[in-house]
Amino acid sequence: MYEQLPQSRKDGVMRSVYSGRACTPQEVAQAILWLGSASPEYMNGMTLDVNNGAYPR
Amino acid sequence: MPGHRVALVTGAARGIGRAIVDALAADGFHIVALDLDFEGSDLVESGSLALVRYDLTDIAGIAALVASLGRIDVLINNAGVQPGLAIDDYTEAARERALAVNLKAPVELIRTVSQQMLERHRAHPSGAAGRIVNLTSVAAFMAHTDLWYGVTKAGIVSFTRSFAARLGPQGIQVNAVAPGPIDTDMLNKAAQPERRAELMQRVWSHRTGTPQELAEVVRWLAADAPVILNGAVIDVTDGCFLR
Repeated sequence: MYEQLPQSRKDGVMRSVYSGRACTPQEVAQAILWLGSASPEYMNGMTLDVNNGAYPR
Repeated sequence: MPGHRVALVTGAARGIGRAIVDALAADGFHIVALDLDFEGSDLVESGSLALVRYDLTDIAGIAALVASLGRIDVLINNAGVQPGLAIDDYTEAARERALAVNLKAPVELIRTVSQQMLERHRAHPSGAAGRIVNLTSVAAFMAHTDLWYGVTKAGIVSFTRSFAARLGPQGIQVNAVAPGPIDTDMLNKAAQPERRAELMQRVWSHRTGTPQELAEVVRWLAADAPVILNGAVIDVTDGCFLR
């Protein structure tokens, strides 16, 4: 999906990413695994951003 | 170089900090527990737990303090004060203490601790340089009855991102956790009653979170979160603040 983006869009996102690289599917899976297994009950209804500075909020 | 990872936890004697000590120790960390005093705390010094008494309003002394502690792989900026005062009741001393402990001290701790993390990155560019977790609050994003407390928590979000941008390219993660109402002395004694009631109206489970629940989020960020997760603020609010 990411590879199909126009180069100009990819360049724009990469400019704001702290590490200067795209996230790997394995890294996203790490976050999903924790949300699905060990994250506490009180962490509910939130969106976990895994974007390395591309979209801080 | 020691075989174990070392975590410096501020505000470690009680509440959320105390739970973070347990969570990190269970994950194999050696802990440097820092607090103003350990009176009434059940923490006992051991080969894997050092207790350090330090007043975080002494910003000028932090560099020497950090230099005396040796290797630190993980820094948890948990210490915080909430005077619980309306703006017209604030004294200069209360305001300056909140600004020092909640804002200036964690910035100085990150600045000084990250120097050794950067040295490790230069020596081993592919290795884990270090991780930093800052405790902010939903107060960073909402109107707050204790105005200066809210200002300091918003500031923590700001410096979390600034340090993540500065240190991220060198493999250092700087993230924050924003809790809603957690069952601590700060909520039960310091927070204004109207503030507590306002938060609890919105919480889905109708209960406060436990320090242990928050500590698991901190532990994950300190130990297991992917390196790409940087500059993030994780809300642990059970619905009292959604964004």
